Amino acid sequence: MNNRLCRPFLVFIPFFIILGLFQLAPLVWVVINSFINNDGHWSLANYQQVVSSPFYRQAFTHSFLVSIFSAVAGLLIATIGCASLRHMQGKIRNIMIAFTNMTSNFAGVPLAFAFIIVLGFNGAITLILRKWGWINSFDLYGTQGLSVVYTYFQIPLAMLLLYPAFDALKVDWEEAASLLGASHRYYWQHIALPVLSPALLGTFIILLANGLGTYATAYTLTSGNYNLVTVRIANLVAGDLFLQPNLAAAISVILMSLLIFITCVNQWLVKRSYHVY
Amino acid sequence: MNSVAISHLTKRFTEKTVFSDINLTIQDGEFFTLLGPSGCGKSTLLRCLAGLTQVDNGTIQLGERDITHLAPQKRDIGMVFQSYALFPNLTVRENVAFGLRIQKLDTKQIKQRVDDILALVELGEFAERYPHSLSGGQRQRVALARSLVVRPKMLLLDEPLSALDARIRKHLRQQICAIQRELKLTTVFVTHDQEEALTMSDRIALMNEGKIIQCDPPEKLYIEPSSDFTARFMGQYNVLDADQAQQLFKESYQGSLAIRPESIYVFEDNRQYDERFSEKIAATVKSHQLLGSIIRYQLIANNVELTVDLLNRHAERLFDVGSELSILIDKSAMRHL
Amino acid sequence: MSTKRAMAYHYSVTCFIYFLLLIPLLATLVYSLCDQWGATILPSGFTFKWYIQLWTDPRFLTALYHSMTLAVGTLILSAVLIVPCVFVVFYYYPKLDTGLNILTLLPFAIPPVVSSVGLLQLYSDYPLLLTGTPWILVGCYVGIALPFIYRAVNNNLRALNVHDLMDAARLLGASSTQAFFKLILPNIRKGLMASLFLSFSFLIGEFVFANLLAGANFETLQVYLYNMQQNSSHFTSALVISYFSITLILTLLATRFNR
Repeated sequence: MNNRLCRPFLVFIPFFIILGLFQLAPLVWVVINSFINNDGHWSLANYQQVVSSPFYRQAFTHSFLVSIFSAVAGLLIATIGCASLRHMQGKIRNIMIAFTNMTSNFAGVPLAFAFIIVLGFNGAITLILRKWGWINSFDLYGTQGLSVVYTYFQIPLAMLLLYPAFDALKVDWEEAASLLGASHRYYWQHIALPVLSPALLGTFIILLANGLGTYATAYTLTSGNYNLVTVRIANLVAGDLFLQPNLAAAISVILMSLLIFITCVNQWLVKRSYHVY
Repeated sequence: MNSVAISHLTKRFTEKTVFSDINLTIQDGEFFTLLGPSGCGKSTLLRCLAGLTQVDNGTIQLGERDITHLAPQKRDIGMVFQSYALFPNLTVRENVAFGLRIQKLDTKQIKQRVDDILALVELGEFAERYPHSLSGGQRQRVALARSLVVRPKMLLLDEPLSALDARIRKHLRQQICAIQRELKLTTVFVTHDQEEALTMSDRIALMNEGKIIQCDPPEKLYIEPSSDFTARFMGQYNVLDADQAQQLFKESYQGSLAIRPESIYVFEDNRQYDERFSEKIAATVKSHQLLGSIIRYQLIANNVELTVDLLNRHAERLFDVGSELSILIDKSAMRHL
Repeated sequence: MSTKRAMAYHYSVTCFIYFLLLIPLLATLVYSLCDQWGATILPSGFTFKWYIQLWTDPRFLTALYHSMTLAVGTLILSAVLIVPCVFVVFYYYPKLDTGLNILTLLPFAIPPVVSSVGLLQLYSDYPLLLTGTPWILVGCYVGIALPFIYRAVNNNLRALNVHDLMDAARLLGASSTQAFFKLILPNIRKGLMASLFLSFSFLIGEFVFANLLAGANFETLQVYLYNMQQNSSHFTSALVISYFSITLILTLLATRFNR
């Protein structure tokens, strides 16, 4: 390669050093060490321990339960929201989108605090709901509560990801459909939703991954007492009791494999989706 | 019969009136064109006919029925959009079958009618393709087929050719006209292109700023413009005000004057000119453009700028910029506005 | 008629969703501004004392300082590292674009908790004793900023007609490096700044790495926030609102730059 084409390559070196040290190296470490047992030998012991332990299985069940619920609920609300947001006047719409942008940043520790104030045992909304007799008590610190909090931070993210797809729905399509005799409902069922389906599926995967990877919100809200995959991983590498980084690595690899599997299924669905009538 | 009667039709948006008190009758089977510059209200008027935009006042009657407040689904009106508006998730066949499926026809019948209409627009072999793999002209023919297959009482065309390139536009123009005549379908066509309007229509309503300026068959609209606006919009008419006319002909005129560019002639020694023609006027060539069969000259005669079209018959007769010549004007073709 | 009914529906849906999104924020705001809000539905006693208490707490100011310097430092480093790479890929090796694109998604695909497992084991010992120092956070945060900066710079370059610009500059006698600094950089400045502000608000809000890798040795705003949970919730509310105001200002600045 001549000099003129070789020199630009130099700018990659520091970039790849940083990325290698802090992104790739830890990933490689996790994958390798997940296959090394306590005595330092190659083995599947870590995986066996995860699979056979009801405790870790519960962590996965909880994580998926909360993530799937919040992803579906968030996607549903965001879909309805985007469909309406499209009809707002330009100025109002821009303000709304800016606000969505902002709230999508409202996650983790501060969000958990805010929810304790609103929906905690003595939270303002809890009191209102209790007074109206809608609920006896709301358990913010269990599956129910986490699902609500997760949904809250999924909504703005889903709206940000979905809105461009909704913007690509042309008004002409609905008008053409209506002139051909289609009701609003028929149009949504046969045109709008199929056209949106790749975006909806893609967004669902990102929300699911986002939910599964969330640690700060749950950790703050439940002080690590609610059994989630991320909480388990963190406890095994930075907890107070005995540390088992290799076991944490195995759990991490299972989590990522499940994510990759879901993403592949999703890609397959996306490829098929346009051909469904 | 599917004639259309529009009376006192008015549409306002929050701040401005788009059009008010529009009255029109469109005959059964007529190819009727709404022509005008962008923003003149022609598209809104078309959307009101389709029911996609609500009117504020007045009535629309299609045949025996008052459709003013009817939902678009119930109007039996087909429409073709400038953007084609094909459903991207459906194949050509499914797109065309869309309206028939809603009518719950049986599968065999749907297949028959879709095949027939696709043959009519010469797209039979593209039936299983998706819209994104078709060219603009093909897409617009699918859109046309989709709106025709449900056998509407009236067809609306909203600038269907504007997004296409010139060659395809001319071909599709002829195809639309042929189909319209074959089906004897009442058609309202919206365009800003006067050439399109002139070649396709039975009758043209020229609109400007929410008003119908003139409503006539194409020949009449072109030869006998009733106003300044029509004269300027319909061709390269030279519109002269009273002062300019006086300057040009050295005699006094009242009101403005419209002279078509093809009714101005360059003086030739060996030709006889009868009393239809004006006196010889000296002129200088300012610029010229070759428009294929026609050469268009900008001339200055008595300090008045004139556009003159000459047939591109003799290559050697091309006048250079700055050349001096004499012109004659066919006074019988002049319009006093 | 029916369109009016439809608009009413759209307005109410939008208002309802945004009201839902606003509730936790509003409640926190009210909470931070009142003296007491015990087991009653309505608060009582308007006060600024929680804010005064917060903004005079040296530990808070240190955490704020830590977060700010960490974020600004990381972003400067990220810009210096990433922008030339994106440009070089765009201009010299467009075929590498897909690879770089996948690389930028890595920080999204791997949860921070998972990365931390490896990072804690790799960098807790000599020769690379980085845990407990801000340096390990800088390294991780470059990865967080990467997708934002990459997207913004790449989009800007696409809109710029880079090849013609570089050719013109070279015909006028500039070297490629000169052309990059004098021509390309000023032209992508706006988009770059917007992406930096966006990354800034993400970095300020980062908790997992900060807590697991640096912890008490280098307390950032988020970790401080977490450690304050035993405090009065009025105080933590004031903290949340202060934190949120900072991100709000940054988001506004980012949208300003985007125009």
